[in-house]
Amino acid sequence: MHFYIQTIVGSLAFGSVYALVALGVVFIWQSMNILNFAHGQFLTLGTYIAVVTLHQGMDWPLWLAILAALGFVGLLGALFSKTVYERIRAQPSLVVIIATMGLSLIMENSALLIFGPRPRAFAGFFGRAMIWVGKVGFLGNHLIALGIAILILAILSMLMKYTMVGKIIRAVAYDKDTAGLMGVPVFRFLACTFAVACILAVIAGILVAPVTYISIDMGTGIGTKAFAAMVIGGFGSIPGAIVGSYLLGLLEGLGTIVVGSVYRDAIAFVLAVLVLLLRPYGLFGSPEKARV
Amino acid sequence: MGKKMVLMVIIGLMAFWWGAGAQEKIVIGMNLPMTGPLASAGIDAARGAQMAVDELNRAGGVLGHRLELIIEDNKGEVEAAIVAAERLAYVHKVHVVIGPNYSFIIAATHDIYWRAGVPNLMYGTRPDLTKLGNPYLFRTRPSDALTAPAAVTYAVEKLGAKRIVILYQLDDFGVGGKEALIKACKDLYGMAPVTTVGASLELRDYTGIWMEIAKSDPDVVFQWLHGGLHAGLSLRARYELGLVHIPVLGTTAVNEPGTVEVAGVEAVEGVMVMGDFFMDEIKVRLFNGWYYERYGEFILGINSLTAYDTVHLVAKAIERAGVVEREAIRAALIGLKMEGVVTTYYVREDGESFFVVKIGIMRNGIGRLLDIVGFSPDGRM
Amino acid sequence: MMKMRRRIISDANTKRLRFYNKLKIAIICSVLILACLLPPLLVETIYYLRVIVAIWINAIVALGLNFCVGVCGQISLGQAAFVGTSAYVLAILVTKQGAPWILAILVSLISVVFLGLAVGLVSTRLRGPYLAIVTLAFNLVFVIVLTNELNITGGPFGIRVNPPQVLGLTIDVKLMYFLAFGCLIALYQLGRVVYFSKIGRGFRATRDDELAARVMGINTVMTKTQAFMISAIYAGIAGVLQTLTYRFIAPTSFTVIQSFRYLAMVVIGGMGYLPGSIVGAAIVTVVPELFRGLAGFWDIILGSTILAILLFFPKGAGFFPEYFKSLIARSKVEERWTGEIDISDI
Repeated sequence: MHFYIQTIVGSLAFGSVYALVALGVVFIWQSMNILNFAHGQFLTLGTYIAVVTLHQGMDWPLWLAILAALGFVGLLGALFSKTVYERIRAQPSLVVIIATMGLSLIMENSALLIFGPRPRAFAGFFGRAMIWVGKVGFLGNHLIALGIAILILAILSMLMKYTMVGKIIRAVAYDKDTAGLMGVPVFRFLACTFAVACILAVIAGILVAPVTYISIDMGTGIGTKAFAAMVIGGFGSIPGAIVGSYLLGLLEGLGTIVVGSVYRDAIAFVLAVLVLLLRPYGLFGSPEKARV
Repeated sequence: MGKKMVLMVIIGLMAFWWGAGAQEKIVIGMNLPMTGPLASAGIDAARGAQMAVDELNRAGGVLGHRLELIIEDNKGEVEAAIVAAERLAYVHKVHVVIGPNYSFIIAATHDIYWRAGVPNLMYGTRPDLTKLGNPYLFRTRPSDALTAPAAVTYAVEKLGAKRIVILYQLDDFGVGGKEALIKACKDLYGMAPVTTVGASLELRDYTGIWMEIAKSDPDVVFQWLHGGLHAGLSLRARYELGLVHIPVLGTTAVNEPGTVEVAGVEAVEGVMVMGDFFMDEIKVRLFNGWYYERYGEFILGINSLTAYDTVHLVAKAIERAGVVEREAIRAALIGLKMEGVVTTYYVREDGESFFVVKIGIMRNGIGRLLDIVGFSPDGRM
Repeated sequence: MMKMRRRIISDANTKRLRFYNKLKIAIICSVLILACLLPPLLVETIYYLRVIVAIWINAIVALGLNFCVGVCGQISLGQAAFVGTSAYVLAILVTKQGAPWILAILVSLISVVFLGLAVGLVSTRLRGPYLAIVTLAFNLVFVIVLTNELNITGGPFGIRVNPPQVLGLTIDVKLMYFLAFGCLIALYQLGRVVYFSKIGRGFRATRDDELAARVMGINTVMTKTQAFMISAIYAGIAGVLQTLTYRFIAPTSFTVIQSFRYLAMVVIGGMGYLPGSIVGAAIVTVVPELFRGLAGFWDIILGSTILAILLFFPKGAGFFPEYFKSLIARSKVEERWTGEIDISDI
């Protein structure tokens, strides 16, 4: 029995990670109409920089390394959004998708060249501590992931709703032309949104690194699952992305018990395809939000 | 007239130099995954081989000739491997090919070397590779047909295991191991494993797997996973779920520094290893030290050691043959005996050369040798 | 009343010019084809031949994919799965069931077509990013199933196939060279016919503006399904050729990375431009061979090339022939108009 509780907690932790990444992808989708296949790579890049380069390589204190990495990747994201993504935005969605995949390829192989193929261990903030409640052991890292993710989601939603910046970002995402007419420096805010999305991805990576360890392909896997989660929850809708991610995490974790570990990865994709076939707009999506 | 003479002399010199140069080197080819998902095995092997080549060259080469190592990248894909193999055989005209360690790539490329008459010393573990009738194929690691029965015998007789669970990697290495184990259980004791659990290469969360394993209440779990992330994360999950009371007998991979790093010393404590090498063996430690000096990190796994030993094996064969020629090298390999870093090799008629299985246990993060199960070349234990 | 009529010029001069132009094209094509046929006769090293055969096979896949992606505008990230389906069905039938080759080839092709039909039907309900994710998921699940269903597919070990004897000749690389090249030429011509036919026009209309196409009476559901089926057939033939050439297939041959490489060939050659796919296939196949030392860099270069092309040269390699064509057209403008200009029935 205690196994199930542990599995559920672990699944929710993974769900949190997917949620942070999916949220970023939805932001980019809503504001720029681009499905960013390269999003996972920002996750990988940021995590590597924070942990491998700064913390382990140059002995920076962990919190400083993380902040620096977040800043760096945020800036990089903003830069990419202004140069690359702006140009391809005007093109048909086909071109956009291929372009982001190309970008993903470039980033993944660059990371491979820079950091090498060896996976790295990362002990996280509290090492591999476990909290035992009777027979049930909770992994410290799972709890941290859950906690921080929920915190960030809460803060973000408050920022979006109640601050001026948040409102502007939402306005730009909703209708950038009108926002532009209202005097909003649209491009700057698009870059801002992109940067936020990337920062979310890096946080997700750092949260998941103590559990899955850092490897070059960590971002690709999580990114693809996040897409599946987005589809399940409803393409283009924020609550959909979050709910879909947690749902996917749970189904993956519990599904492994049913289907067997062999087909674990397939669960996400089969689910996504099924949802697309039966409810093309997912659980929370709707034609306007999907805006295809 | 003068100009023509000069030209002829130059051309003559070039021809001579080129001709002489062409005969001077012993070319060893390697067909390895240097990029792609299987890259770390390839890079590791390349480094080990390079170390051996440099060592031999520093000592004056073999039979007075320098050795040259040519590595072709097969990206872990069949088509690229076939193309790389043909390049090695026909364009680079290598004398010998070493590696790789992935059985499916070996299966795809061995006939190319066969047709070209190039001896191929590989180290995949699938038993039927040496039964393909290819006289140019040699194996420098114990085949699963050796390790699996040894593992089963040890588990049943020393550990008294009756309920066996097999945890295997979902690639040709893991699946091959699983098949060999099942066969060994059946042939030796008429048993079948209680259950088998597969783990894909992408899997990072082994909690579900270990829950599945725990449900079967095993006496021993054979862990046939790759080193580093895979074996490490698996053992980590076992530890975190509080399942350390379940004995695990794993492959060489458990012993690798990468696995210990990922799992943490406490998670590998007491895990038994069926291995080619152990970190507490003196030769291995020496090798690890040289490797670290040169490449700035510890060995990634067994591949560097095997490649190193195999290069030396080739060198010895060339010396024995007396000429640098493919057919002669092939003939000289058979019956060759050599003491390498990993073990003593004895090359048999059918190409097998590794007949020792070592069993050890992890203490304080280091694999310690417990027992050696040796097979004599004619197949007896 | 001024009658304005555009008369198709048919005086002796321009007739001769057109004849010479056609002759020029015919000569260039024949020379190219002959050049392509020479290597197996001249070169002994199998390695070089094998690379070129790979070009022919990849070009077939790229052509098929181009129909789906370039001509009809439907994203397909799962082309490698189609290739893999026919390859595996063929291999399984021949090795495990001992079926005769001709029959096995037919069955494998039919199965790919059905698969293409299925995916096509699914695609009709989805657009853009959805379709991308679904085809991606399809390819991913395909590889997972291949790797795990040992008893059927040989799992990660792959399947070794022994090629048949045809008329007493063993099928080797040289024979496959001609066979693959022949298939390529045939399929290319077929592609041209389809491109300029009603179906082809339907594809292009659907790509350019689906709503408008539907308004014009084109059944876009059928066109999209047909696009996938065509890409599936091409991929299927390529899969058969691949099995015969390499004699060994494994799940790693049909991953998403491979799908992406096919997509790269289409993009580099120019989406919607059929001859370009052959050029794209050649580039993506040959360049990594030329620069083997830069193995790690190659994927970066590939990705960058695609990105650069999409950003700056959306027509890819199709850019060059179009440029020359327009040059030629412009140089002929003078000669186009002669005779009376008659303004009446416009």
